[in-house]
Amino acid sequence: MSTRYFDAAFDVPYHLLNTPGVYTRFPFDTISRPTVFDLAFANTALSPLVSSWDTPLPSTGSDHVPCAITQKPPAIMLPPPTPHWALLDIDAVGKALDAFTTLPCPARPTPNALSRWFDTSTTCLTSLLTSHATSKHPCPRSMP
Amino acid sequence: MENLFNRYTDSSAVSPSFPIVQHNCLGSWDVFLTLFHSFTMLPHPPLLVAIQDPPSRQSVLLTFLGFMSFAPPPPGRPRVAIYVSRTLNQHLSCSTVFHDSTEMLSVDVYSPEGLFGFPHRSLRVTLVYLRTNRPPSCYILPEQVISFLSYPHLV
Repeated sequence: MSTRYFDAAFDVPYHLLNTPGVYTRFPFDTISRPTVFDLAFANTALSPLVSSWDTPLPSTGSDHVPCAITQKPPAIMLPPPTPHWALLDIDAVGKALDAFTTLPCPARPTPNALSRWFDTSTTCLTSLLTSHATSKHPCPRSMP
Repeated sequence: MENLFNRYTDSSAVSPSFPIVQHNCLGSWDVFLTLFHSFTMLPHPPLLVAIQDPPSRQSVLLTFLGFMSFAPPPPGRPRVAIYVSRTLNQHLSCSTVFHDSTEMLSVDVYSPEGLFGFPHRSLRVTLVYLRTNRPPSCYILPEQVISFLSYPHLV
């Protein structure tokens, strides 16, 4: 009977999640062989999210064993968008840079105070530059 | 909620993954209890438990702490049931989808902000009980179960 389901799954398509060779039913009699009756299918939208199909739990006393299916977020997440420097409006940035002034340096700088002043000034300058640049989103198929 | 993954990571009450346990031909109360107690052996407790032949009393499903149970409506005792973790139900919208058969049940998990960091907002889990000792007219056709869906679907 499952043949028709396999045919339908092949056509749509759905992907069989069962691990080949892992039995899910162990008959109590000594004549019958273990079989794979407990099937799980995932469609193309879900199959990339499935990280495992397994039988990690002990026997429950039934001739069938529990199957665990786990979905996880994609391991490779897209990086955040970055400034598209090639499309930077040079004229506008130039005017903004002319008007840009750094924060006054501490009169008696300690190493920590100097570090904070440097970080703050760098952040202000970076923000000014990125505010004039459009963002670009890397393509999922880009090389790393 | 950024997405299901982030929420679960933040709360640490449930796993960052989405574990589902399936047990076919479960049958008895003893097996039911053994199954649910064995979840402590998993790194993360399952959020959905799909069961064939769930134990019931007068067509009412047995319950287990931390889970909500769903089964097709009467007549007849339920042949399939899906137990939904209360933790999952608190965070996301879970709704049952009944079909024409008492041997088929679906649960839709919905989040308006997407699941798993993907743009999909829904996940459907369908449990089907195919019994070979039924007359062919009672078979659940593959077309009723396996159809094109734009969002994730587990059968």
